Amino acid sequence: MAEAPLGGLRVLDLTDEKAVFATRILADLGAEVIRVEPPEGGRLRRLAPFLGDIDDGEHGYLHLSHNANKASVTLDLTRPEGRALFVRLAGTADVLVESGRPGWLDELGIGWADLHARYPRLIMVSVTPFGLDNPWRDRKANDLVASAAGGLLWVCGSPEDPPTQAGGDQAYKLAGLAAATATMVALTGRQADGVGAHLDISIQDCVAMSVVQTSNPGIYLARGRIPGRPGMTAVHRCQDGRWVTLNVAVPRYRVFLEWLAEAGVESDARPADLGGPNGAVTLHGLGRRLAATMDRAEFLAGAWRRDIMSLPVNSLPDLAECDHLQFNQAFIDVDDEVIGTTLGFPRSPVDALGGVGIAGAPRLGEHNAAVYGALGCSADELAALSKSGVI
Amino acid sequence: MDAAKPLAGIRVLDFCWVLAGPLGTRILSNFGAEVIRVEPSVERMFPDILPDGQTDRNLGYFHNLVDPGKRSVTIDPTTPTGRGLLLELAAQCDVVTDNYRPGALAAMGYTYEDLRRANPAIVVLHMPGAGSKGPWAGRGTLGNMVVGASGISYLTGFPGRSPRGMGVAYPDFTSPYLLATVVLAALQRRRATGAGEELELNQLLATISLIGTEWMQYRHTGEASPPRANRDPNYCPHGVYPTAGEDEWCAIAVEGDHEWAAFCRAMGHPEVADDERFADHQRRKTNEDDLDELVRTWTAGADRWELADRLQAAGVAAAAVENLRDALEEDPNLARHYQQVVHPFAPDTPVTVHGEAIRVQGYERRALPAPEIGADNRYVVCELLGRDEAAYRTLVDDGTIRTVERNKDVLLA
Repeated sequence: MAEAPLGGLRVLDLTDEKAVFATRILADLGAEVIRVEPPEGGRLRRLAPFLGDIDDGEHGYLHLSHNANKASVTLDLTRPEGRALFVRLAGTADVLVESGRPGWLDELGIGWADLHARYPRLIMVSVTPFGLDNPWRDRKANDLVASAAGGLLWVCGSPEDPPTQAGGDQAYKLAGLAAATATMVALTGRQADGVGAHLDISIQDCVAMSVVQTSNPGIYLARGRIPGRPGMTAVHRCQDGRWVTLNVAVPRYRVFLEWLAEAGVESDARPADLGGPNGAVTLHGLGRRLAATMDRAEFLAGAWRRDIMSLPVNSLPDLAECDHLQFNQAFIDVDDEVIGTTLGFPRSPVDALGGVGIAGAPRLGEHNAAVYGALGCSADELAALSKSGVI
Repeated sequence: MDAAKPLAGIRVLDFCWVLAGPLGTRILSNFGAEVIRVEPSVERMFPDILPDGQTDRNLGYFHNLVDPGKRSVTIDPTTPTGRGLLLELAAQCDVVTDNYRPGALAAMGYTYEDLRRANPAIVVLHMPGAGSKGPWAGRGTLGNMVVGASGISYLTGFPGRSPRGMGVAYPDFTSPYLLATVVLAALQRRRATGAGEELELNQLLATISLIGTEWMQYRHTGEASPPRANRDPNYCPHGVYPTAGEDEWCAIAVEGDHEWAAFCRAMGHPEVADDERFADHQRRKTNEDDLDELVRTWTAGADRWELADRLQAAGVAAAAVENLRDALEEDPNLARHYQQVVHPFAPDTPVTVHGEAIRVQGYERRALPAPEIGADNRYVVCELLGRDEAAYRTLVDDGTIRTVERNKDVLLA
């Protein structure tokens, strides 16, 4: 593969589900990402759902999908010997990413102030629900609650349903993406003076960035309107029950109306009626009627022939069958020897950089000997640490 | 690192338009990269919202949101002279970005070969909606279409409803982080190799990577999960519950027996914690419909903010479902998130924008105003490219540098 952009860099990964997507991205970029887990295994390993319903710390889908390309060591940070070893380990790291309660590492004596004093080069990224020093810093949130506080729930879903959470825990994804970007910014900035920084990622803020269009401040401040559900949407049901999105740009209004006529959808709309204040509603109604007259494949072909923007709304089975995705080899199967089965992955979010491979997630503590050995721990020392339950 | 400008010294020639691209170069600009934005023609400018009573496009809410601190040129990229100037400029840049349809930048006269000839170390990042190869290559896309095609829409919502998706053009807000990450990673690689490269960030594939867990489960079981209906296998109760007031809601997520007991106490129903039907996570999950019905009766009369405060005090994750007015006026925790930018030419008309979400501890970043359209023509042509004033006037007179009237033809969103 092309040279890995972060080859030679080491990242210590103390994240849970809130930010584990960030360290997966850093691992895909070629950094050596080491998950530092309690001896009984990190929280992520015990989150459902589980492959084969096996809740043994190795079969969680969240763990398997997010911890690919990483290493795992165990370490009990609640014990002084564990913290001492952690400090030594941090001395070998470029980046520490964590998503615990604000201040939890400070309370253990291994927070930003302690580590920065000892290792000025170290970069630390903290992902928290509401920010490290905001008024709600001590509040809890999971994906749903952060999506509510960030304004995404409000615009998501049907008007007849409650505000609706997106599939795939997208508040966590937004925060993970921001944390990965923050790391890249800090790694770049560190080149000037060799000094790291502490990055502060509030999941609520990251969610709020996803409504900058639908809930742009100007909509309320300049126009006095409060946007509601369904926010931005343009889905239509075709005759075969499958769904499409449709967007008709201004220069294609005339062509769209000609298409309606050809399909036998009666309408007295003129191109000018599709723009203006009520245009979107008119357009949506016409799109709905047009889609109902034909199957999805025919609709897509018809739209594309006329250079009108339309794509299928894909279910998971649709994804597997989609010719465009097959052509682009959108999915990768990886044989996982630990699990003894084949695991399916989408291409890496940073696949643009070329040749990002995917290796299975590590077993708990799989890299203890290698990582601690390289720190200078002898076999006897490791045995003692293991016996006393520190690793 | 310099907290104010950690990306100082990076110069970007930015052809991005609409949202996904400009919000990506916004991150680079916010952290001190010099982003030189090649403005689209007036007809292709993104429809904007102007402050009440204003007609000046430079005060647009979207313009000031997506272009903070950037430089703006109106050199016509489609004319031979304009093309020559921009290729000359590319020689002084580190990065070129665009999020046009596949091949559109090349068709405008800027192939990778052209750019590489101008600057062998240039990093060129294209960010088309669905990629440049395959049956959909060349198709125009918008963010809401990409999220539909990604599979996320089918995982969102309630069974039996239409797959409306997320109510936002979601990739427009995830791709920006990937643009910044990929550009900075490519520059990191360039430091090792000395070589530039051409990269394509396929937004559709990148969006599918946001449901990797759900894909893995489907791939293994062959069964597609139904839309999640605001539920989560690791929490119960978990949902959006109606509170007092029309269309007012509180999101609540309870994890484990300890929080369950605390939740019942905080709701004034400690005895329910001992109800056999809800005695442990497994049983709460089995009886989740009944449990949700019960919780709805508890929340129905409550004020959503007071309820969230009460639950948080009891150690339970909860938040009012916030609309735009709530976010701007009620939520104390977003007070730093929204910022006002003030242009010197309109000191009495602040424009409210979202500030940078990535914070450096100990540094308070202020949002910068967007440039006036074309404000940096002279900087680029005279300072960077070394033309004299007479040459600059000629470029204006022959239309190579377009004149954009600030109060005319503003497309309104």
